[in-house]
Amino acid sequence: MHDLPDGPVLLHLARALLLDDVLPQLPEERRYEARLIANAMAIAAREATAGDRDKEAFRQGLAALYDDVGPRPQGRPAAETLDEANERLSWRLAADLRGGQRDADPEVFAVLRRAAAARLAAVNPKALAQYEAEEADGDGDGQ
Amino acid sequence: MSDAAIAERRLAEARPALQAFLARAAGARGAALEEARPLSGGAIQENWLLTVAFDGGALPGRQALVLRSDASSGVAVSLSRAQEFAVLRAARAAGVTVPEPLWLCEDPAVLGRPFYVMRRLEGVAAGHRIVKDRTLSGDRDALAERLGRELARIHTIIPPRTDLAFLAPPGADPARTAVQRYRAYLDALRRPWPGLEWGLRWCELHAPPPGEVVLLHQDFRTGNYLLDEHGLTGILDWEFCGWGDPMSDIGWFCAHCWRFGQDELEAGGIAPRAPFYRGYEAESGRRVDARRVAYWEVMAHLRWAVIALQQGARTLDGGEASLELALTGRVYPPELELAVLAMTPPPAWVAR
Repeated sequence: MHDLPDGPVLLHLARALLLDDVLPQLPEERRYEARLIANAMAIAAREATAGDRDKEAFRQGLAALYDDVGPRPQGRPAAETLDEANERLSWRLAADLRGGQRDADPEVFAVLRRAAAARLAAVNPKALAQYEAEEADGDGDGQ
Repeated sequence: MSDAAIAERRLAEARPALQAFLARAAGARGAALEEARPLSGGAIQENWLLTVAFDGGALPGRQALVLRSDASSGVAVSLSRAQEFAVLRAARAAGVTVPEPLWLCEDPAVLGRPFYVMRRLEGVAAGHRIVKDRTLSGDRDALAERLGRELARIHTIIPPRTDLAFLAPPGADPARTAVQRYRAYLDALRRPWPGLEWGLRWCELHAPPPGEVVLLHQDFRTGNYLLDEHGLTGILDWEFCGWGDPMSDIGWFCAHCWRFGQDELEAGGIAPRAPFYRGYEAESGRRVDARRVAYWEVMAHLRWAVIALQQGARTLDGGEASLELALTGRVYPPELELAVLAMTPPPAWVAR
């Protein structure tokens, strides 16, 4: 629990100040950098707002692929953080995919899609919306 | 001090040596550097716009030139400036529209690192501007057809070539070689990327059989050619050239990730595929193999994702504090991964 206004609110205010007031005063050749800075702030704010929600969803998806649930299954370290669990299970899935153990597996496909969409939502929500609109049109399957 | 400021100071210090080199190379009595301006946007090399006044020689009078040198942080997979100079000469000889390569300098005494000088071309390269600003280059179908012809001319260069002997020999199986290369790149990043592994496995299983091998540009896309109001003025950025399947350059050009938001214009965000393919087929006498192109489009997204991750890693592990590189590594991979997954859903896996 942070004092208010918290990190995301501060980042949004800072970003608005940068884009609305500072950027128009900048010479043309520095505006690109200002937009990079604004983008970094937007990503950091979205990440902070999302908290552990997406990581937790990814962990559950991965865990379901490997029946890796319960208190201490399959050599899982005692006090494993969410990031550590995701990294461990991601390594396992990556190796299985490379080794051909999960070819065309629809459950794996669903987990990977959800995870990529969540990561895209954090860095570029507009692109995700466009992507989902295309999927809905049924022309998302390029093959 | 910023990179740009360091580069600027180095060039100022090198001015007498550079002028002497330019005069000697042009066979001129003298060369006066009237203007030197850094061009932004080189993660891999440094580009300078030069205005040079030559006294006599091969190019008398005031000339607009570009100087291209290796940057401090080279990417291992890209060509050196000396190699790029050789490729540019080969491409020009093959009839490709490129900035004319003039002189190569490998003497470190001049600038501290190798560089070459070419004629400056006017025009706009920025992909976002090109797809939106239709006043550039006039008719877009004609532009796509012209680009198809240009690519076909690049592909007339075939191995073996003694002048391009520095290029890695063509592997027996370009598609599987690419899969192995990108897996090795991912391994070097030391983080798991199951979404990309999914795509690479699909590419391994669905690799087209080896066929023709030609010189590939390997970054032939909107953003890497120059346009003015009349049309194409030059094909740029030759540092990723190599031998391989000609259809892979077509897949790269048409890939979803290089359409700059103009998704329905599948040839680089500027036109439908038909005129691009028509130009390519007319000039090369080779059929565009749609299946192969579709395969290489999957690979294009994987390749760009791996490159973006490598650029991001330069700030994470390489100690290169760059917001631009950090954002590249963070912003692009998820969308590329989604595109790869969209092209390789379980029904698209054909049992072999």
